Amino acid sequence: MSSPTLTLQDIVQKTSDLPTMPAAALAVMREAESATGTALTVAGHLSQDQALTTRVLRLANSAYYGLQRQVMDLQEAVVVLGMRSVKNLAMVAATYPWLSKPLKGYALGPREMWTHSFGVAVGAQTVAKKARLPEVDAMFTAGLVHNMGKVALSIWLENKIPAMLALANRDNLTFDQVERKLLGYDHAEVGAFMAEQWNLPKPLIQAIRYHHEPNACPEPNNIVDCVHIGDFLTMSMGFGLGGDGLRYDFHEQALERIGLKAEFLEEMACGFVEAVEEYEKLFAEMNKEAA
Amino acid sequence: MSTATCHVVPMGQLEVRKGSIIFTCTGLGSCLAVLAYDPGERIGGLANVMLPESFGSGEAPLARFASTAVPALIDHMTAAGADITRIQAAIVGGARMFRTAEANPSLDLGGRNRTIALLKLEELDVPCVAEDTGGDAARTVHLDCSSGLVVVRSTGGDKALCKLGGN
Repeated sequence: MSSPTLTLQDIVQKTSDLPTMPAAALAVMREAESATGTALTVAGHLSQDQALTTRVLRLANSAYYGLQRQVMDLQEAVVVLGMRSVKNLAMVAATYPWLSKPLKGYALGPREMWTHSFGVAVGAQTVAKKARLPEVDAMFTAGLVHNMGKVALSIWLENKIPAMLALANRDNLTFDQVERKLLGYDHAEVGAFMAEQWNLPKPLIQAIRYHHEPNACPEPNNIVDCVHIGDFLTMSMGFGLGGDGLRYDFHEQALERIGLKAEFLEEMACGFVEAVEEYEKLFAEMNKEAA
Repeated sequence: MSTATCHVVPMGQLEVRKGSIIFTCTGLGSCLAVLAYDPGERIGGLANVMLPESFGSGEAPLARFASTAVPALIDHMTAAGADITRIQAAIVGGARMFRTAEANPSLDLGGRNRTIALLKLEELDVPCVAEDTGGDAARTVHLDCSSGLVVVRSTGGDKALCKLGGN
């Protein structure tokens, strides 16, 4: 296997199919997290992007929400579904185009990274609810984007999985450790680097950076811990597993920090799978768009 | 493997059919596929088990838990005409996060799925003749109900695990 030749900056500059986040989606995310965000201001930002608006309205009218009548505009969607739901729909609509592509470098077929990312979004929310944490909403966005570094790295890792797994087995390493050995950085660092460039909120950048190493996060961050546990649930239940499989460490301290015990994992796994199954109606709408 | 129709058995569900169909479980992580086959009647069954044992008082699908899925699978097969004395089983999946079992066995959902499934098969006197379990790789498994052939796909490619009922 070759030694590291690309810096983080190189990855961002030279990857042709890098994930993008529409400016309107970023603005919606910041607005919804801010103390001054209102339904009207969120709708205002979203309406700046016609393609995003159209997708959000399609999702709002999907069977998942079971609305009695069709929602015709954003203001109405925000009133009927609430600001938080519309923000989450905007995140889904903004990330789906690049999360649904196949990632050969990780042996993931079409929509498998999407399935995994959406699983972690729902899983992190499930964990946050169980722990009665206040940041349930932020968990969703963090789960969706936690692996965006893989989307950027995939093309550079094509055909390398067998050799990477051989190295992992030989040296008893996790897959992110192998990435670091091979490239000098892992997909979590790449994702965090991109998130900084997008000017995402710091807790979100930390969730991306430390989702495999929550104990290394320099300050307490519930989002980091919930995404880590949500990732465990998603991998265990087999949502969007790639060639790296489950070859990552689970850090039990993440549970302890948010007041949960390992014994709760099975109950959370059940709740998590039921929540994902509920969302199938939303998936159906997304898949229709991709077809 | 024959060219019969593939039927995906979703997580937490079980299916039993006779003859020309291939049951498939895709992307098994810690979930466990329990496969069973009566070669005399060519009746096959597959349970895609999520977790070891049920908890709480809620009404959950029987196939969700190894403790209830295995008896339900064999019941469904005998109700469809299978002879329990001829049924053979195999188990596939039950992976776990890297190094977690050493840290805390209760985090090893896959290992516990395996333990309970084997226990239940033993209680029913149904022999488990083959298994491909544990580790940290994702797996996909196929059971050809016309022949009892079990094929497992993982990072190393496809391998024929066994032919259930083939002695």
